[in-house]
Amino acid sequence: MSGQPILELTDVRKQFVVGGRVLKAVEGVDLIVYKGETFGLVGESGCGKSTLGRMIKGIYAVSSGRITFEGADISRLKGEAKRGFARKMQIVFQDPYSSLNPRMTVGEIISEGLEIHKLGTAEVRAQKARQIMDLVGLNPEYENRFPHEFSGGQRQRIAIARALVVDPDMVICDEPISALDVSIQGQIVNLLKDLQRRLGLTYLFVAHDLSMVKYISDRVGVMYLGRLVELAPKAELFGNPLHPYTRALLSSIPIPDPERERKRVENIPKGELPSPFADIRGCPFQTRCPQVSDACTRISAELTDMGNGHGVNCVLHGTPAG
Amino acid sequence: MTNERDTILEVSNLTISFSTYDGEIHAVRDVDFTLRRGEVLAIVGESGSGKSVTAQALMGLTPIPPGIVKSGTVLLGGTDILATSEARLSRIRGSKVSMIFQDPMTSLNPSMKIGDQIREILHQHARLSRKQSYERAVELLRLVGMPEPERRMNQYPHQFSGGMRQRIVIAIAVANNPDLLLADEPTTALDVTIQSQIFRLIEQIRRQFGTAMILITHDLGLVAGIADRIVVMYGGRVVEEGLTDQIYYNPQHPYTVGLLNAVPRLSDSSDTPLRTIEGLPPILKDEAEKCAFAERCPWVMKVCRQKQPGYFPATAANRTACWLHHEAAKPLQEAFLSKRTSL
Repeated sequence: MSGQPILELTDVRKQFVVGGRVLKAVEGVDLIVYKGETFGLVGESGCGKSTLGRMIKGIYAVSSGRITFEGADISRLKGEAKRGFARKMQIVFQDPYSSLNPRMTVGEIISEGLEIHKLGTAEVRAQKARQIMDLVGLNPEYENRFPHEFSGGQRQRIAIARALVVDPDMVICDEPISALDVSIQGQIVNLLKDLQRRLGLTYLFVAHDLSMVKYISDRVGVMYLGRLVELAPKAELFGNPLHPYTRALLSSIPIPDPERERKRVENIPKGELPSPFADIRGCPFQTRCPQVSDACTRISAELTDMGNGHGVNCVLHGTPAG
Repeated sequence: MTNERDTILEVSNLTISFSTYDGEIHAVRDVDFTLRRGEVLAIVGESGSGKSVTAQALMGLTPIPPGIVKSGTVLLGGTDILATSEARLSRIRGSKVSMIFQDPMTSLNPSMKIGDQIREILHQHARLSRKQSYERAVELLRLVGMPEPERRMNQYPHQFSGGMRQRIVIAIAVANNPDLLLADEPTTALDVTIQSQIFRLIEQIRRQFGTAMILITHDLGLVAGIADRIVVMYGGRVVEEGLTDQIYYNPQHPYTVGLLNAVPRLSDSSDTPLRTIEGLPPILKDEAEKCAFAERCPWVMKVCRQKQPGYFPATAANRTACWLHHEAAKPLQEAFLSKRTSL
C-alpha cells in the first residue's frame, strides 16, 4: 500500500473488569490503515475484533496504547476537533434490527447526524437525507416510514445512509452482513464497494466470513484472543497463509461444490477458544496449535516482517522471544 | 423408485397460513417431499421462504392461532403429525423426531444443570432407574465429545461455550435414538472453526445410528458435503428439488442459479461485482396466482406473471417449478441453461 496512513494503532490494549476478574480483550495491537483502502479484520467471536473497532470509533477508551486518526491522538481530542472526529469516523453495526431507533422515521434517523453536527438548515438536512437515501438505493419517498416497515437488507442500507450522510472519511463496518440472507449480502457488499469508489472512503471491515472479507478487502488482519497474529495483502494472506491459526481458519471454510467439498481436508484446531480470562503467556494459540513448542510461551507480541507487507506472529517464522 | 418401507417421512400438500392484523400471510403453499431412512435432505431458502414454518409443522409445533394448517398431511412413520393429539405428540417429539435449533442458549434451560436436562428427556421416554439415566447421560456427553463428562454434568449452560452448548443440545436430541433429526441452521450462531466441528459431529453421530436428517439453511455454501438431496424453497413453495450434485452442477430453476451465484467463493475476483439476486423476497399476502419469483427473475416471461407453474417433469423426484421448462419455451430454456455460470 502506497497511500497515506489515515489510522495508526500503537500497542493498543483493552481490559475489562468483569466480576472482579480482568478480561484482556485486546492485547497489544499495532496496525496502520491507509487512506482509501479496505482493511479486513477477521477472527472468531471473542477475539477482540469488535472491541478494537469500538476503540477506534472512540466508543471505548483504550486501556493503554495510542490510536491516531489523521495525525491526532483520538483520546486527547477536545471541543471542535473532537466533534470533527466523531463526524469523520462512522460505524455500521451488525444487526440492523437493534441499531435503528424504532420510534424514529427513516428521514429522522438519517438526518440526526447532520443535526448533531449542526450541518445546514432543516431544509438542507432533509434534502441531504433524501439524496443519501437515493445513493444507497432506498426510495426517498419512504423517508416518513419507520424501520419495521423495511426488510433486513433495506435496514442495513438505512444504517449505511446514516453513516454516510455526514461525509465521513472512514467507516467501520462491524459485521454488516452477518445478519442478512445470502442473496442480500451480495447487494450490500456491492453497495459498500461502489460507495467507496465514489466517495473515496476508507473501510475497516470486521467480519468472520472469510470469503466476503477476501472479496472486499485490500489487506487482511487475523486476530486471535486479543492479538493480531497475521497481517498481509489479501492475495498473500489467502495464497500463502503462514500462521497455523490462519491456516486452520482457511481450511474450515466449506466449499460450495459437492465434489471438492467431500474431498476438503480440514486442519481444524483441536479444542475450543480458551477462556478470555485465562492468563496465557506468549502465543495465544499455543493451547490448540498442532505445531506447538516450548518457545511459544516466550514469543514477543510483534509481527515478524516476511516481506511483501506480510507480517506474522509465530516462532515457526522467526518471531523472537519477548 | 422409492421403496415405500424405506420412507420415514412423507409430507403432502402442506399449506399453512398465518392471520395477522395486516391480512393473511400464506407462508407455506402446497409443499410436498419425502425422506428415506438415513437420508440427509437440505431445505434451502431465504427468510420468508417458508422453510422454518415447514420444519415447525413436522414437529407439530405450528402455533395455532395465529397459524392455520389449511391442508396437508405429515406422515412420520405412518402417523399423521397434523392429526395427532398433543399428548401423543409429546411422546413422539424427542423419541422419534428431535430438533437442533439455531441458538443453543435459548434451547437449553438456563437454570437447570445440563446433566439433569439430558436425564429429563431420557426419563420422559423410557423407564430407567436414576443410576441408569445418569450413566446414559455421561455416555451421551462423551459421545458428543465433551471432556470430563462426569464433572460437566453438574454445570449450568452459561458455564459452556457456544460450541459446547450446541454439543449438549445434540446429546439431548439423540438421547432416545430418533429416526429423524431436524436441524434448523444449527451452526449459524457459531464461529467457522467450531461450525465445522459441529457439522462433523452431527454427521458422525448420524452415521453411527442411521438417523435421517433434515437440515434447514439459507446458505447453499454449507450443505454441499452433507446433503444427499436438496429442496429449494421460495415464497412458500418448493421451486426445485434434486440430488445434491444435480442442484450444484445442473440447477434448473433461475432462483437456484441465483442462490448458487450469490455464495461468495474464495476464488471470486474483487474486480467484478458479486452476483446478487436483485430485488426483495416476496410478501406472501397474495394467493398464488403467478410465480413468486417472477419479479426478481432475469428470465421472466409473460406467462410467469399470469399463472403459477406446475412441476417439470410432473412426477419425478427431480423437479422444477418454472415455466422455462414448458415445451413452448424451448428456445428460452436453452438460452437459460447455456448461460448459467458454471462453478
